[in-house]
Amino acid sequence: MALFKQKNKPDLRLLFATDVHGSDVCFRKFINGAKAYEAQVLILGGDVAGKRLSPLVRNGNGHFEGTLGHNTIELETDREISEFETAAGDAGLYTYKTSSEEMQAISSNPELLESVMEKLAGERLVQWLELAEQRLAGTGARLFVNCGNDDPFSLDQVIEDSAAATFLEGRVVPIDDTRFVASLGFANQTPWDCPRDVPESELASRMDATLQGWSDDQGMLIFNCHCPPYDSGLDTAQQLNTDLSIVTEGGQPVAGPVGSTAVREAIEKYRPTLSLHGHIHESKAATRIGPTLAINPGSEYPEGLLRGAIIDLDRSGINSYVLTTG
Amino acid sequence: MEQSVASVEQDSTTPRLYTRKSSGLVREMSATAALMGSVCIINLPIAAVTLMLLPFAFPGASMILSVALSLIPAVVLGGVYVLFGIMMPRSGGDYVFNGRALHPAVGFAANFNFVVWNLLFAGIEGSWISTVGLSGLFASVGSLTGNHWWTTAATNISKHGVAFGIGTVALLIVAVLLTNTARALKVMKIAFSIGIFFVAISIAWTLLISHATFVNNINHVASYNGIIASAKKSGFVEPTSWHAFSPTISGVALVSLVTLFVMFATYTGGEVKNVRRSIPISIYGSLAIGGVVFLLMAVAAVHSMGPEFVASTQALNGTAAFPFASEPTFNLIASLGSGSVVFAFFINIGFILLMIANMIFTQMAMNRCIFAWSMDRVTPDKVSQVSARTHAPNWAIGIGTVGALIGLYVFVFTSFSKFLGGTTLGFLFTFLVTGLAAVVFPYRRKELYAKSPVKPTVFGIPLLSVLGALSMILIGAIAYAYFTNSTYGSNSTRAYSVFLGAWVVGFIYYGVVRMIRKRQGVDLGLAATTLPPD
Repeated sequence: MALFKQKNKPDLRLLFATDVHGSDVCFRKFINGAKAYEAQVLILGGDVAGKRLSPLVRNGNGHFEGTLGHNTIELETDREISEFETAAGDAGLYTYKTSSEEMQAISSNPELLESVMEKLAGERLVQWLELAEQRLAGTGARLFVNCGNDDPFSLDQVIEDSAAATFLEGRVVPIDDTRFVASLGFANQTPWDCPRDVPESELASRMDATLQGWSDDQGMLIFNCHCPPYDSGLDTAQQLNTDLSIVTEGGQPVAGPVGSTAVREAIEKYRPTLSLHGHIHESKAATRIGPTLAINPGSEYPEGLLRGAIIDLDRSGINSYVLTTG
Repeated sequence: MEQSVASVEQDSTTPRLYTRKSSGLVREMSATAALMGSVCIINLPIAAVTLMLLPFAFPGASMILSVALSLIPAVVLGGVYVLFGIMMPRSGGDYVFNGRALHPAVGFAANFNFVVWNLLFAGIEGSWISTVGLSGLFASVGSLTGNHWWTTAATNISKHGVAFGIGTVALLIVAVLLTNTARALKVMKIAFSIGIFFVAISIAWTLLISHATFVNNINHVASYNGIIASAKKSGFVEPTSWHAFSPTISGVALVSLVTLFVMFATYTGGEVKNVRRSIPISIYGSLAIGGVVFLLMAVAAVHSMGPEFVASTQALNGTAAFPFASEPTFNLIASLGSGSVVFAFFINIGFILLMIANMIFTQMAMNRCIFAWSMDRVTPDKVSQVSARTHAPNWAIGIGTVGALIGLYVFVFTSFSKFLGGTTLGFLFTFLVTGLAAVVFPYRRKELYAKSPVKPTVFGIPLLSVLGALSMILIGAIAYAYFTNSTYGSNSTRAYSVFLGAWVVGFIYYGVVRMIRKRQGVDLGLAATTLPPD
């Protein structure tokens, strides 16, 4: 019985988290997880960019006004502004000091708003990677980062340029001598037409391209695919009507699988030891697909909680795992 | 669906936030949908039983006032769950609240206790389908038509073996329904909608008929005054007043079990959008609807039936002088007092449908708790596996069903029936712990509390802590009433052992599993380790 079985001693602890969506506190917790969880490898699985912008608009008396949650607050001092920016950053929001005239211009020009947010997302990611470099120095822990379907493509280069992290997209990357991570941040088409939403056929070909030349005798294979496999329990989301309202039955949201068939087929074809996923925040789960342990730790970033998965690996494969909320 | 590249957020209450194109931005559930999801929690079948027990168990109690006062603990405890639910909308209820505020072992033990008592209750409800619902229907039709086949059927269907058989079938049907969540929710919605419609019509009818008409109709099937006289002869002492303070307060404990469970909404909501609106609507909306219906039942019982008559039927229940073929529940007495077979069908079928809806909702909520334990690796991984065909957590459903069947067996066949039927006191201890968690949460988990979108204070003290303390006092008072009154059957050594046993088993289980998992290299302590943000 698995519950009572004693395992071999693990030789690598991996911390996986995903979908932090711009949350400063979640990223800091993730980096601090190296020490707290004694993890040697940290993998951030995508959707690092935030979704919202809270402009700090200068008002007539020279103060700033910002909206956080449901409250619009007047900020008089530098300290108040700093506290506002910290609270917004922890919740995954970007702040942007501006005038009401500029904000009007941005509001009426979606492309301009998108470019402002993309710029802020890049700046925050740079800050994160600098922080990671400082905090992980001397710990021996290695950081691997990928983007997800919500992330603008410009963030790829930010990670590529960082000395603190290894960018994972579309390649097989060694995390130690014998273990390799193959990553894909793209997802199957969502109703929101996100930057990296692609048809299933393209996902399949991107997956195959990533693994071209891979052979099992190279070592242990780990997948890091932002989108979870279809119908795996890792991909259960609320079903939506065409107007993006939630389908309900008896007052309860009706849930169904929304993952990728291409990702599932890739897992079945390449049979990795471990497959790490995110994308569907509410579908925290772990399951087996053939010999593969597939995990989606989910995301609770708006509450400032880092959901993660700690996976202990030994030479034969998965030693143990636990899903965390830190 | 094509959207603009970026847009002003649709939520009109936050016009100064801008949202870029990203997944997951769905429209919130309507208030009606959120309310529909939780209104099924209101347990009117319990009301049909406990309301009628009230004047007998506490002679002199004002039925209306006891019911009205019973809403206060529900409002206070509901407030605790509203604030916790807004703070941690995706967490899945008090298992997580208590674990985060106090300790994961406490979170598990409290939730384990809650699940154990709910499963026992699901068994009780399974037996009520025959002993309260079907038996009430057959007995009223038999009495109203004078057809003995119906009255014999009413007696036979209440027999232990039959009640167990029907309860088993009902629980198994619920289990099968739950293997397809959408189907289960559809059945629940239909059962609840029809059930509440029938019951509402019936209560309205009972309210509209005069006391004289009620007495006249009862006199067609028995003797209104004869029942009261027989009860007095058998030892029932009529109180000098039906508005006495002490029994009214004591009675609050008995009837509060109908409305305390509005917090179930936090177990089942999933990723609810705009929690500041949807969670209060779910909890307080269902409490308002349930409270009004329950109050109207109490008014009908007092003005049409009369508390003395209600108490007398309970005093005679189980004796040779009891003139009816089924338990003297609200549905039976209201049916007989209506003088109408059609009405009897309405009210009894209505209550049966409400029992079915409530069984589905309760089992679904408990399955989610059991599922969550497995996700945290506290139970074997199999428990959280979902069927590849139906996507249902079949193991969790199976465990829940076996637990309910055990509850059904214990209630039907053992001498625990009075204890289990008269009290669901065991639930209260989980509420007490949740109250404690609310008191300490803003101080022990400052970083999480600081991120709550709602942090009201009362004289500088977090409202969450205030409501937590108040709920501990009120729930503590209810528990005290149970422990100091033999009517409930809760103040015996055996009862204490069961109350304590559920907690001890929960704690021991958690400790043993943690040890075993550690040997396997799985440190359960890591699952809830708070990571330093700085």
